[in-house]
Amino acid sequence: MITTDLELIEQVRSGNEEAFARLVKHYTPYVYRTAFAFLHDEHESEDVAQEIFLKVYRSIQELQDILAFNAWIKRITTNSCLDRLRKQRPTPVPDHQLNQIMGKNSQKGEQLLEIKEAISQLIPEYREALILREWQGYDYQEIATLLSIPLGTVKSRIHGARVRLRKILSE
Amino acid sequence: MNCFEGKAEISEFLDGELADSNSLAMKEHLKTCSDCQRLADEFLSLKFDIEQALNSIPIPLYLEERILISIHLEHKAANKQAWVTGLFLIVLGIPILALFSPILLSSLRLFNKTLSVFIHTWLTLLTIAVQPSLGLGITLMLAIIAGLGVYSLRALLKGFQADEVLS
Repeated sequence: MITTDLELIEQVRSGNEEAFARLVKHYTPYVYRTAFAFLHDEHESEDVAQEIFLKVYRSIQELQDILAFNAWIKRITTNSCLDRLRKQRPTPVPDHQLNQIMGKNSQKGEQLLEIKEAISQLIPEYREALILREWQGYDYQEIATLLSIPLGTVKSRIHGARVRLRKILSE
Repeated sequence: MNCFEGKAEISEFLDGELADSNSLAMKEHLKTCSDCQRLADEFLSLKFDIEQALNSIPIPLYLEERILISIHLEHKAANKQAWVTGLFLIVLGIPILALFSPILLSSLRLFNKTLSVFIHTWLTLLTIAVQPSLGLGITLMLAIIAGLGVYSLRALLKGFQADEVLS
């Protein structure tokens, strides 16, 4: 973490509203993209992002070590997204949408869109394990703890998600 | 290591989660198996593509502003709630205090008397049983233990509040 970040967090902790606004601006892309990666719904992602920053606002005084801020906000973000994911009702993907994904050509922009949409087609169990690993960078043991599942299940979900994603993208 | 084992463990290998001995066996296997090597390359490229794809998610316009406004409103509502609750407690507390003040006064008097009797007895016992300096030492030690008890209790309660964030 760079010094300016530390100064910013210190200012937020001392109640500086302007510093908090800068912190929100600085972390919104990460928080929103993480929420979207898990939830694949703009409205829900925005709602969760607001909830996360509210938690940060309320609890930043309780953070013992400001050097751990990044890990702390990552944890709050992950837990909030996982909680919201648990409350989401499963929505099956219509066939025509699947065909749309598979029918795209491989221009870079469209390829990224294809990957985003392919991720959204994964079953929630695969999706959350894959996002926790690839985007959030947690190791297998941390993922097992976060999801309260055995280590072996984490291994099979991450591997299964990659195999499934590869299949969707290649079809 | 054969292809079947290799394909099953390739994710763990790429994520650095495979035990050292299996990792060496996997490296050796990848040198000789083009199929598994291709799968490893595809998974690695998928890793990179996923990161790029998620980094390309557009942020809704004025999201930061909406977040700040919602926090401001929530903060304002919480402040208002605190004032209303405080006022309600005062309004409710005054008649209750007035009603129970004779009982409260007698309780305070009783507490005061009990405390002075206790302190007096404690000092008398100390003076009779041990030397004054030793008695002072024991009293100080008890005060420190009580202080530590209060401190531990506060630390414990502080821990409970922090848990709310991690839930």
